[in-house]
Amino acid sequence: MERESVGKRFYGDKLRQAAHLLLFKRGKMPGAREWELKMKLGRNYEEIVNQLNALLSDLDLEVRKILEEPVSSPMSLTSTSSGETEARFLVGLKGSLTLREARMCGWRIDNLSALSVAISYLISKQGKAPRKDIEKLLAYKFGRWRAMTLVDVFIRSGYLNEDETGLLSLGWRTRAEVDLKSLMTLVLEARPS
Amino acid sequence: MENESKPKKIYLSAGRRELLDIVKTCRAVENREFNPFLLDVRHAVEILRKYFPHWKDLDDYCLDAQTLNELSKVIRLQNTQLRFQSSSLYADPEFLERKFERLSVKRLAEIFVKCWHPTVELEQLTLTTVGEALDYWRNLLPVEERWRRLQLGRSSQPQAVEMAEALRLGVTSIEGFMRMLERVWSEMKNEYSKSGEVEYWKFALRDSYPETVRRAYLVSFLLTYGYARMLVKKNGRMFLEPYETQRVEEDPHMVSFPISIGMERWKEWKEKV
Repeated sequence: MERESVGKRFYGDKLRQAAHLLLFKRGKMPGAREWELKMKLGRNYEEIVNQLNALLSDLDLEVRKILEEPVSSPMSLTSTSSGETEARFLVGLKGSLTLREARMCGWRIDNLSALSVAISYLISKQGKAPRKDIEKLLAYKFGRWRAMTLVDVFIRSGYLNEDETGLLSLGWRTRAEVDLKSLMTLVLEARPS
Repeated sequence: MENESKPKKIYLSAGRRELLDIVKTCRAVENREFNPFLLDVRHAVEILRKYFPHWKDLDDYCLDAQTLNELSKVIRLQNTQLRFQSSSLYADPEFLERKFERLSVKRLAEIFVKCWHPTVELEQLTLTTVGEALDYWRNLLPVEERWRRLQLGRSSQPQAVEMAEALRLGVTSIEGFMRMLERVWSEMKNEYSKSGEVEYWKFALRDSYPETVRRAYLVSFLLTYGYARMLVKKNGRMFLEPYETQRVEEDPHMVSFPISIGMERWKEWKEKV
């Protein structure tokens, strides 16, 4: 009993520390790197993260592990890969928001719509497409200037990546936040209302 | 019959051209401009085989190796595409484009939020940001001081202005903007046909400073709209080359080239003249 209570107290401190590391943004990207967690929480950081995950699940939140840089093809989209050293842990919403909630978080419907178009088009092009193609596609609904601005916004926020040749690919945030299979299924199934 | 039995003559220059074409096509495929299956790899390999025994220079061997390398990349892309098509994420891009056109903005946003699980990220103050904010606050003058610096008096009531006065102030002009552009363009073309070159500064600089700025402004529009192009020589001298008709080029590498037209420069030129 005594050992258990000591263990719980130890975990309580560590849990708080883990929550602080994962929830508060310190650099450009949210969350914490795997080595940071290991350094601050100790060797059994995975257990602590799992316990935090269990606590957060009641609040419709979850801890996710994503690879910082996709090592293989741009289509390696799944967020977890056990044993990878260069990984980042993030806390994200387990369920999904309603459109109204998303608007209250500061997202415009236009932006969400454009993001869904850009991401699904990139997936259909196997994860890479020229920037001008995506801008042309967005310009149909949002106009040329707005399309250019939207692509810039998505790149800045990490949803898209752009290389020096002007090719766009899926960014770290898309891999962390978007369920790509569901997105493609829903887009293909959708009928104009 | 004799002609048929004669071996076909091999032109190395034609071979180099063909290999360069293959490399170019492969790169276009890598940049997602074409479907990887549009390139006939077998035919490309046959071309490589045809010319390989005739190469003598190191450069030609390098070109051959480069072509082979590019072809291998295309084959890898073909493989990726086949694997992708067999996955559940596969959708035809053209079909998707048509779908996007038909779906409303709201519908697309609704679809997105269903599969979007945003990350929680709480912004926080750090010692550095607090320090920066404190410095800013300490150095910030009171509002009254800042307004005094601007020396803003009471604004006058709106009044009617005569056309002559508006023209003098430069608020309006008699000829339209496009007309002004056309005039400068034809002037540039005339000068180009006479001397074969139009030096930028010679063309832009005029007796009065406002006129110089106005001409530089119009020239910048002519360049942007594709009525002319600018050539910058190694020594820094800039030349203008007018086109006969407008050329609309979708050049992704178009660069903006700022040119400062300072009063000092204009004065220097004026003194020289």
